[in-house]
Amino acid sequence: MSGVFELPSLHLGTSFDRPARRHELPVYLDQDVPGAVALIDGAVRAPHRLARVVRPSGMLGLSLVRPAGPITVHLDIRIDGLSNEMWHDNMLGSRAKMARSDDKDREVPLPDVSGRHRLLRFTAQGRTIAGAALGLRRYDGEATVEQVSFQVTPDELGDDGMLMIGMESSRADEQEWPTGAAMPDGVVGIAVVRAHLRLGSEPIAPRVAVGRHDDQGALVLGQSGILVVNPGMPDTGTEIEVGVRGVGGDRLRGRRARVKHPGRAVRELAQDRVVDKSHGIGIAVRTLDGADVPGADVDGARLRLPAGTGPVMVRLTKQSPSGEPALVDWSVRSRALP
Amino acid sequence: MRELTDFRPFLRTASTFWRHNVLPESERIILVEAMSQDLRVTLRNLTVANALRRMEPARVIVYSGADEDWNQIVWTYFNLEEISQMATAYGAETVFDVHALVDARVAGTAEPLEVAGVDLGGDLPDSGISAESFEEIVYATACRMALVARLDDSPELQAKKAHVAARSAEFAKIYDALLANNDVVALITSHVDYNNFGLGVEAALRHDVPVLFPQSTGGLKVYGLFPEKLPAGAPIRAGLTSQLGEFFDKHLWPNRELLHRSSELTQWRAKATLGRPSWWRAGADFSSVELQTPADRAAVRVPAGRRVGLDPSKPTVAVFNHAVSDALGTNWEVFADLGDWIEQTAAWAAEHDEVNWMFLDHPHQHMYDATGFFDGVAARYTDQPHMKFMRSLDLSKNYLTALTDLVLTVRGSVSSEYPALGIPALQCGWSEWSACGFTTVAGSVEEYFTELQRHVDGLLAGEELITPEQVERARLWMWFYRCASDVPSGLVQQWPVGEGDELFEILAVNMLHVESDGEPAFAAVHRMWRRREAFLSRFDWEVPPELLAMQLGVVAS
Repeated sequence: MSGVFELPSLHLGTSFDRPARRHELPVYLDQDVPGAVALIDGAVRAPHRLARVVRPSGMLGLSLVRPAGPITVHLDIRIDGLSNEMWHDNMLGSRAKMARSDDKDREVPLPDVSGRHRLLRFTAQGRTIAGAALGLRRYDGEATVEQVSFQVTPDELGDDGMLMIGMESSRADEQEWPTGAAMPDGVVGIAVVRAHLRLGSEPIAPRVAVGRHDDQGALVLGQSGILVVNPGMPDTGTEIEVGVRGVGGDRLRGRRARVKHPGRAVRELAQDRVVDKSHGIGIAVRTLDGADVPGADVDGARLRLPAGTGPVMVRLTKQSPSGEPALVDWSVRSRALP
Repeated sequence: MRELTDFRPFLRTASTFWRHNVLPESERIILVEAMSQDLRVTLRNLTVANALRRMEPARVIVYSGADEDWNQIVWTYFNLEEISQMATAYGAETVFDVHALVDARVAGTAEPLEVAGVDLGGDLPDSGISAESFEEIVYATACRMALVARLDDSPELQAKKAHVAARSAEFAKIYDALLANNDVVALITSHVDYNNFGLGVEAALRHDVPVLFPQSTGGLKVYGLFPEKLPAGAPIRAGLTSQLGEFFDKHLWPNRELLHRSSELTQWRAKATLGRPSWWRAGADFSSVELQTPADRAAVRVPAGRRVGLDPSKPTVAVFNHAVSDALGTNWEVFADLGDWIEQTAAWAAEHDEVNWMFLDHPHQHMYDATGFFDGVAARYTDQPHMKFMRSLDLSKNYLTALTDLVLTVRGSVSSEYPALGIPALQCGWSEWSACGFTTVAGSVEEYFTELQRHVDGLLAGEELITPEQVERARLWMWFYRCASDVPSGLVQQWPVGEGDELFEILAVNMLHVESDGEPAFAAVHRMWRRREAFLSRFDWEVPPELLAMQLGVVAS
């Protein structure tokens, strides 16, 4: 790989190594594909998923037959009960243990923040390519899933064709909007269900990555109001339009709400009707590092991002006509700008 | 914290077992240290003592206990009663709390306490230890107890040192009295550092008594300090370094073809964090090295460089900071102390931005430094973008391996791990492997910086700073450390078995249902003792290669 110092004495291999399996495109990689992941770090090759992150940052190396042109990658990401369990056990457990080591007589009570969202950053070859704000709350069902899509050029892959996908946590929202910020080390427990890699630069649409979508767009819960917008193609801008979905809370949403007691959907619809949907909508936008986003244009319930911008994190707020903060849930639609 | 429910039945079993597996007692004694809260440590010491008693009839005298300093900084569940019960079951004639005795002697409230025919509570003559050795041990202990890299003139630290000195004087008297008034076969101790352990070791060696030194890892790993084989005036571990180097050249290197497959397998397993794990880095998901090729490393180096904020196209020197108060002065080192080394290295690095510098703090520094020493050094160089300071645990082993082009350490195990991957290491102190020929070992501060300049220049010029032969030597050492010098014994079990009920159930099974002759611990201790070897070995090395191959059970047609 060009631009990388090479140590001539390097002798990493042993006679017991099994060479990495290089995958030809197109390919779906999951736990059933032998040698699906050539290199893994901060994560484990999971029995029922392609991988699961177990440390504050994780990395997957996928060995590919070097493609002739750009490739498009779709990663299916999942948060489930095990994600929260692992996060709780690994992070709270290790922190409490460490705290006790410093002062053995002091038990350190640590809050359970696993209900909060996880603000995630995905990289390819070290370059940030996507983000997500995911969570699994009590009424979310078994899992929250999201798809992350991006493109990589052959030059980025290098001759050896190793695609390095990184997964990290961001807490930039804590600097910007401390109330209800993301859980620390939120990437711990995240599962990568599968990776789909294809030759060609198929168009990628902008996407609001919050793990909940229905026919009204992405669903953002009022507790945080945080969402992440992943850009589409580099030469197109992105527009998102937000709408007040209803009063915030832990009630059921989407298809699951409809299949429950019929009266429930009616009741929730009634609740939605009493919410003022036009007044006091606030949109704030930052990069995943918490920096300003040049060229971001907020106009009422719309946010426009110039071409080449993103991923960004967005916070939605709502005030009642009296000026008091209102807890509402949101629907968000995204589209590419010409 | 462990909870034992099967301990009493085990003690009964052990008592019977050892009664039938050692020689009858004699007037001679074996001194056994039992000052760790971890029963696996005491188990190893007592097992080695009893293995000796199969050849050397002797009584076992166990000294135990903990003081307030150790309870504050290290121990969380020290239980003298459990330790005493275990020692008694293993045939100890006497178990006494040496820490409590020392405290009482310092306070002038000691009551008569006869141990091995000596009244340790009464007047005892001064120790024969040299003033210089005594001062070194007091200083190192005071640093450790105060959690500082070095002592300054502050009243608080000087008071700590005075307290340590007063206690040390009494430790020294007690150990001297036991050794001077008895025919002592050996002293068995888990540590050789600090006043409570080290003064006993010093006294034993001064009285020409061998010290056997079980390690708190693996199966049964023991080093042997035989007075006649130790260089006069050298630090305690220096003789071990020399003897291991001689052994390496006499036995391991000539047998490298026979051992090649084994050492490759050990290296492959070590990369996967199998076998004895890295001392300070647990967790296969974080401490495994999955990189197999230079291309793998190049692919990981890019994101690793971005994470750390260093240019991946420049060579990177990794400086692995030590636990700054850990076992000061127990082997040759060229700098005044471990802190001095990293301070001077950082100052040198500031003038050399032609390469990247990664300063990595020790994973367990919080247990060895209460002053924020590393952060203090880092704060001096915040304006130097080519120098990054972080905890080594902030980076996975894959990331570290991808970024590191040269390792700097005084004596750390990184100087054995990285050369086995073809990454050169420069040491400025001795370690167990530093005479085995795969690292560059500086003999003075001046030589260290000369070598450092040569290595930096070599990296920039694209030179190979470690040869294929040195890589092979490093891998042979890895095999030796993890295999040859690690004796699997049914009477101790591997360290990861823990110290709970499971351990004592397995030990009881071995004592009840396995005939004891040929037990690897017994055979290995026998060989080590009779031959005055510097380490316990799984194999008999004084045999022709074909018999060595038979002992190894080599994979070969």
